[in-house]
Amino acid sequence: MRLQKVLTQPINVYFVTFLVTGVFILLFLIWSLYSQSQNIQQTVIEKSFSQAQEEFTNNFNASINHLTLELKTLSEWDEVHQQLQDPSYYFFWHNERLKESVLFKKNYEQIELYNADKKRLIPIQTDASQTLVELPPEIQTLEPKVIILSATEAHLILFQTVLDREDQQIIGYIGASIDLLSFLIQNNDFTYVNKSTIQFSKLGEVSLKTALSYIHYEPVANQQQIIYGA
Amino acid sequence: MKVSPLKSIILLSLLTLFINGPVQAENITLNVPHSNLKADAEYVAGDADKSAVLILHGFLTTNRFHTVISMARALQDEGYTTLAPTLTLNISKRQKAIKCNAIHTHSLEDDIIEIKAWIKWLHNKGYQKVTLLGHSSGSQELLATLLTDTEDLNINGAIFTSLFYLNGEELGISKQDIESATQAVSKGLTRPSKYSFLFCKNNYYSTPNSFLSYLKLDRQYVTEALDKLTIPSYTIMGSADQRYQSVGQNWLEVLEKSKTHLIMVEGANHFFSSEHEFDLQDHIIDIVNTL
Repeated sequence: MRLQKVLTQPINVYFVTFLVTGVFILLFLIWSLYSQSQNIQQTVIEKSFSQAQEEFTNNFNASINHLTLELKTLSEWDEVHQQLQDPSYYFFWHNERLKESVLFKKNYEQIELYNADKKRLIPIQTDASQTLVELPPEIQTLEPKVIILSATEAHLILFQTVLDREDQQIIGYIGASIDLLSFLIQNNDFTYVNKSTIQFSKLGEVSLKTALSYIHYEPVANQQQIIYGA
Repeated sequence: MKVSPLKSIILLSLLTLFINGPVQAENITLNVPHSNLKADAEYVAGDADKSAVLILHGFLTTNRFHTVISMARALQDEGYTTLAPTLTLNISKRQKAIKCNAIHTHSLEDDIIEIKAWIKWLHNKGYQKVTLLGHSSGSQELLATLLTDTEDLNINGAIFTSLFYLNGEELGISKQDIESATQAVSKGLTRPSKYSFLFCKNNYYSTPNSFLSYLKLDRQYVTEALDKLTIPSYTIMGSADQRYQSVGQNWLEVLEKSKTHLIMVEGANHFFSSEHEFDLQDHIIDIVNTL
């Protein structure tokens, strides 16, 4: 009897109850959708950063391996052995022949040959306007390094041993200075990294091993990010 | 015991391989006399009773050049010993063909020293008969070598393929280049310059001495040298060699009149490419069999 009394209410009460419940359900659904979209956006951003980081790291390592192989090929070149054996015409070879060769790649800023005592064959005075980082007259360490001059300018310095073809003894070294940013951009395809955002975040000389941690970049703005206004 | 046909074939193949043995190519390194250079050659030992054949590559190439490899394989298949050196061209243990615009410091005289050192190597190895076989400018260089003191080296014959000469206006050698190189030498200048030499048009980057040394091998030198030889010589030419366009077809008449035995391969180019490779091989085998 009491239940019947409770349920028997004017139509207005039922209407207001239904309206309030409906509004709450609607608000819950809106909140739920917003919350999910925020989660998706966060996941997309995290995924984009993760893909960009993976892509950049892979491309960076592949580029260094590629450069190392190029220098290895250069170290096996007959003409490098010719110059190390008899550098009488090194000046002409270095200034004319080397730069015409297909082995001298476009991102190489400077290539120098060093004798077995790690001294440059001939200490050529390079035009300072052309090369901001001059390879040293004597090799102090074979450890590869990166000299960062600005946010968009860094020079990778690599050394490669040249071995005697018979007894595999070191007969000299090749020193190379490479425009790192140009090399990375021109020799790699980036899908997740926005190439125009690649920058160096520290100035000065760093080892190649730590160089990656001083390179900053942004992922490309993908469709989801545009939709969600990221 | 009954052996199936398939097993018979396999056994026969293994037996043949065991008796003949695979051709064993050996890389030989030689200290070049009067220098600190080391030279490489591919050596394949053949039958002891057959002559050894020294095969010399053409201008700026190596012993890996396809015509050289083809001639060597044919001789090896017939049981001849082959030695195919790569001239160092002043690069120790040179591995690859050298480009026109590389710095050329080598000379004809240097090349002859190396060639003679290789012939002596074969001689010291105990070969009683050595046959010389050259391709293109390798032929001219062997010819020049034979005009030096080689009588004690038991050379029993020479085969020249695609034999031409290296100096002459018709080959693109300019009088101006010769004059400037000669003047540089007379002034004691050794600085390399760009010359035109054979297929290197205005980009043969060479010291004046190096450039001039090869110009000795002109048309007259080659024809006279052929007549001066005291051993039998054979010259194999391709009828479709494009170099007749510069030296003229009468070059064949000059060779015909000389003491060399001229053999023509109809339709063959300078390198005896494609099917003419086999014609070249057949002629070479016929010649060495008669020497």
